[in-house]
Amino acid sequence: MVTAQRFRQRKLSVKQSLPILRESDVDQSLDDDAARHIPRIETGVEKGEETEHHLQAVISAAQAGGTAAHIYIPTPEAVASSLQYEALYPRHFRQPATYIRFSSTVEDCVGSPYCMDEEDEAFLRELNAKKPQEEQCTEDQFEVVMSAFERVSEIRQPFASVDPNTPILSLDELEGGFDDTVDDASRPFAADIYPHWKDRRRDRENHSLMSSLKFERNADTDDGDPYVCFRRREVRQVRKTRGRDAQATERLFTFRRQYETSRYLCHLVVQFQRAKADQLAQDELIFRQRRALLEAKRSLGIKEGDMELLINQVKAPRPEAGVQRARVAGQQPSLPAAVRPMESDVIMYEDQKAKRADSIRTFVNEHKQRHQVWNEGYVDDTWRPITPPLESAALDDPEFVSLFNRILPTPPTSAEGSDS
Amino acid sequence: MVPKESARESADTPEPVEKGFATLSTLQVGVKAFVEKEGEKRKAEILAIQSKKGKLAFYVHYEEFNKRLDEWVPEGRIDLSKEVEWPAPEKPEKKKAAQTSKASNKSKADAALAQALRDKKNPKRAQQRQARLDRELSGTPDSQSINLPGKVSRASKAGGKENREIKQDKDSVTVISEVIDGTPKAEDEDMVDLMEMADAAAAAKAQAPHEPFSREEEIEKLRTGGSMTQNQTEISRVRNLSHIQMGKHEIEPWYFSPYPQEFSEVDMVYICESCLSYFGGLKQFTRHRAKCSLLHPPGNEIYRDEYVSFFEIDGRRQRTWCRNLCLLSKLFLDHKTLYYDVDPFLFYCMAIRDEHGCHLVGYFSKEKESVEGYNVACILTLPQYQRKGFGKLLIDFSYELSKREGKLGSPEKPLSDLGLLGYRAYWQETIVDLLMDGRTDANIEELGATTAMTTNDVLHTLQNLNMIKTSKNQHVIVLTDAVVAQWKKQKEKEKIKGKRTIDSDKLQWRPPVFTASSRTWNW
Repeated sequence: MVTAQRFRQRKLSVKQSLPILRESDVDQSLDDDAARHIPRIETGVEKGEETEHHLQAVISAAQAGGTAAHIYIPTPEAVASSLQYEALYPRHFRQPATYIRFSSTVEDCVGSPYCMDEEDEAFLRELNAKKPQEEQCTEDQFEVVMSAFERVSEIRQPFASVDPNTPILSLDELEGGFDDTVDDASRPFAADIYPHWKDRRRDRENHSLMSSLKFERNADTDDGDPYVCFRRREVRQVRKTRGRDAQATERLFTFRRQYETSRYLCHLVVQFQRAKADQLAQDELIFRQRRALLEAKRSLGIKEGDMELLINQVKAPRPEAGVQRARVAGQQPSLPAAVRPMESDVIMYEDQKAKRADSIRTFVNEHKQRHQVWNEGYVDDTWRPITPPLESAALDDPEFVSLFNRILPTPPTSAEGSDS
Repeated sequence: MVPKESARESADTPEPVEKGFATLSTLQVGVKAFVEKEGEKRKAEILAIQSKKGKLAFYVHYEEFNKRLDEWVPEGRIDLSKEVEWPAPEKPEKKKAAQTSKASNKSKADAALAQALRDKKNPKRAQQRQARLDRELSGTPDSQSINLPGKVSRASKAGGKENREIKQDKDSVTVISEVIDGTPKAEDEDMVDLMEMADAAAAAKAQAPHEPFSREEEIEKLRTGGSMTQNQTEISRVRNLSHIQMGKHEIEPWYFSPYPQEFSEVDMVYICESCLSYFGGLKQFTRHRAKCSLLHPPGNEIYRDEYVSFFEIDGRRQRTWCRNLCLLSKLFLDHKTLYYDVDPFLFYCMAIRDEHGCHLVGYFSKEKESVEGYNVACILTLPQYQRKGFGKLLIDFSYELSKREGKLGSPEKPLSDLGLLGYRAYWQETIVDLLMDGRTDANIEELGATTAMTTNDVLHTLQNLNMIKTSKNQHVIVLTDAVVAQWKKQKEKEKIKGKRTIDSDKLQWRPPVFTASSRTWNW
């Protein structure tokens, strides 16, 4: 009986409501070993570390009662730095009223990626000592050139770091790879800086000059090397099916449609802005001509009517009519029915009949007249072929030509079933 | 029953350790010697040896202390007047004869039950031990070079671990924990018989492949998600940077991080507070600062109050920044792995603001889609901002996101020591707050649903605080005097200092949706 009870007690339901009691409400004499028999849930800390001295000290202090505040796990200290924070981090930040939205990358925000070190600084000082004041190379220009050197050799010799026999690129080759990140002011210094770059590059066995992380190189040593990090995850091969093809087509289609829509929107915006520019030009013209007129008036000694020349005559809107109408419309339903004169309410059958006959008569007469007007000057031209109007005339906007048509792109041919 | 019991005891008995006196020249990697630390002699394992100007320096790990306290010590601090433990030579798994079983000093009533439990646990534990041993084998660095991975040395740590386990067993059997279930969402049945599930789990493990964490399995696990490793070979054992400079602080790193290899030779690595780029020299760093225009983490601000801002950053879109962040946080997270790239993670970065910009205080990463239902992968408050309540804000925010998603969440395991304490404190406060609001009963699942905590975590918290008891043949939740006292103390502190929480009205966020293709780490 006792064992049966114990087994029952062990079951703890997470769905059932459990009464909440204070410690004083619970009979302490009752052995609560049933509770103890619920196996401990893992702490989640690695087994080997669970027993660590400091962790255990804090845990046991916490279990002893709420005085754990002063016991903590000691960690190596962070101390104040002696660097000039204000100089390194200027006060440039203005918090916008709305939440920040931002998508530029680090590369977008750091300018030329090469940062010169003490060795470069010494070289640059020496270089500038030989040059007249106005031809000095600034640190920024130096870095622009160095970055360009690094970038070009990275593109031309991606495996330079793997194969130590790769020759260092010549100046001509490097300059051939310069793009528009190298501004005209920096270009002339390339020849001056090249020997320095080449020396440094040779010292580092043609490795990149900026310290870089170690990425996988598909070498056998990669796997155990703790410095190799951020490996790619292999792409999972997706099975090619008709359904997926159709899906891809549909998606391309949607993209195209969205692209066209946004393109059209852009076009409309351009049109709008052009119209605005036109209008501004017109306004300016008007203003100038008015000035000319004014001059003319002055020279002729006419003094009145100046105001009209300065101010654009805008027809004032007539709000009264609208307001009045609104008032009338508002009042009518509020009029109590009993106050209305009785006579006006009575509709006589004769009147209605006469009205109807009248309207029919006028309608017939009208149509008779119109028919005569239609046939006026009638010439029979039916033997001539009917030509469609010119296409350009039909398009309401010759500037915008839609590239969109509902012809589906040919779906890519399914892969030959090598796996089937 | 009896033979099984004794077999278990034998498995936990430490192998005899080879001891003897050593001289400076015979000391080698793997040797455990007594080293002076803060006036006390502590047993420590030598992980690396370096010779500087004719003097030897030893990189030591103190037993029973976290790796962040590992350090280089001069030869003078090693006590050679005491015997040292030599690393055990490699040997096949022994199956020793039964030894005298230590009488358990527990009540008879307990014994019968505990016995049954132990019997089932036995095969699994033996295996875990085996696995751990194997792991350590491959994790020990070579004796000549510092931390040269891949080379296998002797099972140096085995003795120490064994000792630890014995000690644990003597203290109490109940400390030994069992995996209830890996997935937090598993509690579907109406009644969860924890005991039975634990046994089932143990049985399943017994039939599982020999080694629970083989390197290949671990890497496969990492490939499909996850950012924490339990594999010792993934953790480099000797710290590589001596100091870093960041913002207004100089910080001593705690663990190894795969920064460029040449940084291990410089005294100070400079880290830009805005873009987290790293530089080995001051000139380079000042030049970088002159050009760097980033003023806040490069993503969308999704939360702002008077005190902090949160930014959401996609690992795929901000690869450089997120890599930099991971490198930095690896300095302070032992089990974090940088084996794979940052693409499948989102990074939620907390920053404080001033006129200089937004200063990163801490962050947590989160898998875009977690198979195991984790709502946090890695979580870190930067050391210069620790012990100021930021960790709790970070945790609070992670649960706030889970609430918005309508999911229950739990942090990825393994937790660090600081992580465990941080989470426990948060869980305790959250749950006790709910229980103290005047209600007379509560059910565990509902508690989880209102706090976005998994049932397992709620249970863990209640159990850890000794709040689940039986009264009149049924389970009850007991607000113990200690818990109530702590709660009152906390409330008083909040009255004076004010309480910092996450205001869900200020969170402008919808759970991001990723198409299958963007989620499956394609390039």
